[in-house]
Amino acid sequence: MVLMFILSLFLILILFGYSWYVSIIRKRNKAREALSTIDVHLTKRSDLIPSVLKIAQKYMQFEKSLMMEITELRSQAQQHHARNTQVDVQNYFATAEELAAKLGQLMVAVENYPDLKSDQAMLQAQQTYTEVEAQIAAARRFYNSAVTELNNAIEIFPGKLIAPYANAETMLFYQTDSAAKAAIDVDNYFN
Amino acid sequence: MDELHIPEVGYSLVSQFSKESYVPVRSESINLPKKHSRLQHCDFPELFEKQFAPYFSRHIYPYIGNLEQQRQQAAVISGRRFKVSSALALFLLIFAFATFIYCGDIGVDIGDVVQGYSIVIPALFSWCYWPMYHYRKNLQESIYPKVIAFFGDEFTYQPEVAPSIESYYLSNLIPPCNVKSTEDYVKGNYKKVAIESFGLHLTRHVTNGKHTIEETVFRGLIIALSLAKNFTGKTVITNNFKLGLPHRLEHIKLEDPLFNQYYCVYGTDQIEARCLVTPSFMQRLLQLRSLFSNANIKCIFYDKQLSFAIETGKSRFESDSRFESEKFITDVTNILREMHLIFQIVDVLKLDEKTII
Repeated sequence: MVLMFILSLFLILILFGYSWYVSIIRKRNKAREALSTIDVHLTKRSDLIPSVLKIAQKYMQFEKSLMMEITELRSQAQQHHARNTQVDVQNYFATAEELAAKLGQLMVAVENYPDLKSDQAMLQAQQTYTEVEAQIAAARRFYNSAVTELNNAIEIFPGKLIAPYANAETMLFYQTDSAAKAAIDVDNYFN
Repeated sequence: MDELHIPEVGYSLVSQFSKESYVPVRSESINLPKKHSRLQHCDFPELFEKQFAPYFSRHIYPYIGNLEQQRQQAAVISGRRFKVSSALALFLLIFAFATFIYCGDIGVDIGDVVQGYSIVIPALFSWCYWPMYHYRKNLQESIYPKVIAFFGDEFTYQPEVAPSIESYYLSNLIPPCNVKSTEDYVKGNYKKVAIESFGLHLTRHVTNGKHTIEETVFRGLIIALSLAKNFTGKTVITNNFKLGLPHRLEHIKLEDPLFNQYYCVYGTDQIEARCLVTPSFMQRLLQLRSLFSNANIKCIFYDKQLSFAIETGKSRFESDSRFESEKFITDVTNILREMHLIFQIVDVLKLDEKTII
């Protein structure tokens, strides 16, 4: 009787552990899927850059250095990034965010060039850029949501014991860059 | 009936709905006749509604006196008919009992009597209600077209038009039914987005033993926006699982706890759903819910359409009571708020813009 009870308990524990293991693998794959979705949308942004620069260079004579920086960052972002470790993912996000910040600067600079601002091709490019950015933001929210679930599954007991068997570890959140979060000095805009 | 006059000012006001910087037209600045002094600014508390106040005074208020007279007459006639009908029904009931008690052998079956009553009572009720029905029809034809005309020349109100609901079945917005009836059809355009809305009542036959009864499966409002965008997937936002469970759709967990308390989101594409259900859109949906007194709402983005099924449980544009004097302020403000929210949804989702990607 005692043996049966111990066996049943053991079986229940194994089933419980296995379902946790399956859940961690599912969540890890979901987070990876979300990460690759971000990749798809960042590629869309990368693909948009040459056409934006092509339109912009006709008018923006004084923003050459900014355009050079964007080109450089784009090629950096297009290089293959390993995403096996947390540091890899962090670097990948950092490059993407740096590129986003520079592109944002370019879009703001467009305001100083009335001819460029009213250019039909530029207007279309800006609209597409806004949509791509909205999709990246959505992909980021999806990724962060998937990462939250994975991290919870790993960090809550007995997740920490099971995670190594599932070859899973906690993942980093995709946060916006520090420049975007920095406080704005309003005085600069009214001088 | 006076000819409907559509002012040119209406459309420009609508186009200003989305702009925060517009200055509302103050009715004090317009010389209103003294008889319109009953209309107070507090009747239209919201900023966008204040623009409607002078329009209301000029184009709707003059008809209210006449309609109020009609309503009173209809209420009196209905009341009289109700008294006569009650007396008649009582007499018939006593007569039927007397027949059973004293003339039990004349061969009349109790089933026949009940069946007879099931015909007589609705007939009497229809006869009583007829003057009020006639009044409502008059109201529909005289007031609502003028209210809807405020939103611009392209907006029309057609109480008798029965729109096709096929596409709503196909997108699973509404459940299958046996009988449908539509009412109060409004059609128009806002920033090139085609808007269609109407009241809908769906019933189905339910067999309970020997009897088949008609059960209401949906009664409320349908709003559909036809868009320039084409959605790649399907996104469903619902708090009304009576209208059908989302099949083969993934649950999408959003970050807003208040929104999650009232709505569940399902979709085929996680990214598209998150692009569409932005914090601003969530806010509009919560407002929509409170505008319709916490009604159950189902909203679907599918193909080139965004459609809403709002289960209000009553007819569209139905006043709370037709037996009380009214200035139609409540009805009119409800229509205004409903349309204002629809316009805000178009603005928030930029539904007028065609996706280039």
